[in-house]
Amino acid sequence: MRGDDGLALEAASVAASQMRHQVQLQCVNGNVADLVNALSEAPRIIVVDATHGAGEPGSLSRVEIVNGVLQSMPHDTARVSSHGLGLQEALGLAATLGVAPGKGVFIGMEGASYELGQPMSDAVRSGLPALVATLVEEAARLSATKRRVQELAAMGIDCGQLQSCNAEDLAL
Amino acid sequence: MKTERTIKVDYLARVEGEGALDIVVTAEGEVTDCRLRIFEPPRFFEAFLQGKSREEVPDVTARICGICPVAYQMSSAHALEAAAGVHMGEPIRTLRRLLYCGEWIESHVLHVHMLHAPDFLGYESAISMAADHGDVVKRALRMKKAGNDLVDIIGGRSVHPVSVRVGGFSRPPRKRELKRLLPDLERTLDDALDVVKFFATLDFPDKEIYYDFVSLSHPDEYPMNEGKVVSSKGPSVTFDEYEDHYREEHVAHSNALHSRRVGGGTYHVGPLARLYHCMDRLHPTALQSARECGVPLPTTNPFVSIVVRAVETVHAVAEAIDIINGYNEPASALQEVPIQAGRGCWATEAPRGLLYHSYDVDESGSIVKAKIVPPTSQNQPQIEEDLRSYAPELMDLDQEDMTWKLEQLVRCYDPCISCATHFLKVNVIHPPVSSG
Repeated sequence: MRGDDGLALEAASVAASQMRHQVQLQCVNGNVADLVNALSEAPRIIVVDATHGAGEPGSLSRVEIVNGVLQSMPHDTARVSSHGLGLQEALGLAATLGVAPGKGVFIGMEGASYELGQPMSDAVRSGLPALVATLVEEAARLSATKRRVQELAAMGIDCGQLQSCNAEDLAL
Repeated sequence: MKTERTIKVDYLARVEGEGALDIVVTAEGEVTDCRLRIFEPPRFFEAFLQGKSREEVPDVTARICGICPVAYQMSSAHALEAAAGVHMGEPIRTLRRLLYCGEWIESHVLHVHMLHAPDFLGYESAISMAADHGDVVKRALRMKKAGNDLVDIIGGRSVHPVSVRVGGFSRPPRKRELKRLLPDLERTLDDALDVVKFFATLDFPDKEIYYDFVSLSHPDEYPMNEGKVVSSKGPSVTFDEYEDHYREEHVAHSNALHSRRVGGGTYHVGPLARLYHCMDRLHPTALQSARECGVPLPTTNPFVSIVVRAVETVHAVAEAIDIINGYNEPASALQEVPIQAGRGCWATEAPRGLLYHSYDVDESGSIVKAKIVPPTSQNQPQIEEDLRSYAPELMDLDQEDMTWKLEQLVRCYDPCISCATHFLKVNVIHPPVSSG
């Protein structure tokens, strides 16, 4: 209904159906409380959202999340997401409360228009398959890390927080 | 010696949307400039609705606000049913109250804890507050989730619910779905009672304002979906008479329209107004909590709104529990609403206050004209009046503390700038072309 604002939900829905691993899909409003509740429900997380001011329309941003902290920003602003209250604030609050995901990644796609009543832009529409593929790859990467952690645990190597992962621990 | 003070906040923190605040106070304590500037871009929802089928309106208006979509759905559905001359009976009436309870819980908990509490506890943000008051914030997140779950079950999803229809709900919730929510709601009620006690112990600035409180009032229930529009300084009016008594106007410094009484007076909508008119109709558990909290209620002190929102949270949770315990699952919760030409006006109580909608519908059920007056448009002139009154009292404070206090006063209203900028009438004035 609002241009490219729905790109994340569309891509995540398609990606979740293609993932071999059990993934919990959550649609979350931009308010900080709901974001923290969502972030606290899985030790590994993939966050996908539309971005504004992070490149050409349709381009992808990728930022690692480690122990509740975004590791770098694609441009010089704290707000990557198109929402007023950003992921950064929610991660900060989750980290303060000790409920932040141990590992994850933010995947963003730059939107062209967020105008009411406008359809999704051509740039974003044509970029959606790449976004879906990226999400599927990221889920596989995070799950592979989980398997490696389990292998290491079996060898008696302590990996801390990641040791408790199971098939339901990945949220998209 | 006192000197002229200029307060300039370029980006108001902890409010929904983008706004700024400019105040100039002379050394003599005269406020020469006071502007709550709303610069978030307008979104033209009313124009967008023209030509749409009436069935689309609840879903479209829900997108005006991510915090209070239910309020927009309730006001629009009721107004469109009124345009067809239909009034909703049971079970729709009760289910709509239950859905609204969920939104009140969500919205009040978010504002009280994440946006307003840091003001009173001396923190820049909820993040810094959480370091010292982690249990308070965790409790708030738990309570917020209980509200989300309620909206999710009845509305089909917690973000922009999809089950609300003109005429009721596309699907009534299953009894077992609602029963599953009871343990969390019972815990949330205990939490909400603790929240009232906790915030009632805060140190509130001494500021009483003789407001014109405007809210819905219903003889039998705390106001949400039905009643008349009552005023502490004016007549009670029906929804059809609302626009004869309250009128929006454009002001140069704001992208949001300002609503005033016809004749120019400011007025105050929201929890303080609801409690002022309807405290005796609170749920008994909430009424007891209000009477025993140690803060005199109702109140005309805007800073005490944080306690009033906490009391209303108790009400919403307690009423939700009662409704669920008495719920008998109906086969349908959808009533027939004939398609016919007409005009319908209605207001409901959004968490932030009165939300008025009116629609002109043609014989095919398409929208000819829409008007939406959100709470923040109604409160904005009052906020500026409050600031004009409060700023001279703060002249002994240093710049930082004075700014903090004035921002805190704005946040007492829980302004939703995203809602307020849903429409702007744009007048483009072309200068005359010189012939020479």
